[in-house]
Amino acid sequence: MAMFQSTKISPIVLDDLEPVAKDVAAHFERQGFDVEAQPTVTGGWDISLAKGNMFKAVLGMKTALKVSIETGENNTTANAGVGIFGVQAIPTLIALFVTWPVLITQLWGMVKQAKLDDEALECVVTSLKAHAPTPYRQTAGYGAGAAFCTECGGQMPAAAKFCPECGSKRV
Amino acid sequence: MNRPWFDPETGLLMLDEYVLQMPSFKKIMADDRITEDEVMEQAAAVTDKLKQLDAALSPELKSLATDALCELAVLYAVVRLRTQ
Repeated sequence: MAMFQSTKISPIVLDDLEPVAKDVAAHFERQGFDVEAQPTVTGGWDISLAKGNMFKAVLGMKTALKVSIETGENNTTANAGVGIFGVQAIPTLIALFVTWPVLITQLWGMVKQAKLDDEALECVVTSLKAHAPTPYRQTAGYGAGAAFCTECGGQMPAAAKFCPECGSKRV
Repeated sequence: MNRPWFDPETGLLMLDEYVLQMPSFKKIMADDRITEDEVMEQAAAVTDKLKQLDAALSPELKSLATDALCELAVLYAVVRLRTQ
């Protein structure tokens, strides 16, 4: 697992993630964030979020909370971590910079303190649910035997051993 | 010149901003090519600065500076190893 990154996995799979990326972008734009959303070569979306002096520039490149959304065979994965605004991968010059480990730790600490990663990932999950086709819940195993998580209250497919919302083990 | 290491507002480390202003960095990066001679020259500059510090610092401050440099090196090494 990558360092300084939060992850949420949803059982919902959409053909097109653009509406989800737009929802996340709109959610943070309303709060005054600078937002840039761009599709990835694998059909996912990469969203950069930055605001005020929370995300300082490092070696002249503006840092940001990076939200990546990727579709898998049976689920959609959303990751939130610190990166460079508008750039999908952290440039080598920054990754190799001697104080980058200190800076990324500091920036991640600020993100966690503001619970910005949780907010972004929750926004992705909410949008995925909103854009899921109506019969989806039947085909995704949410029919007979579906249950609710005792930790977060999220709905769990019949065969799920772990909650897709919070990752808690099914009781 | 007493340049702060940390941003007084955010507490974020500011050394990268000073790196951008270093003549050595600007000169080496100017042509997007890093030669062996440039690396050797930079290594000599680092050694020279460390020798100046070695001579100028009191035993207490030298101990603190040694610890800080070594802790930074430890962090850098473990992060590089973990992300490889």
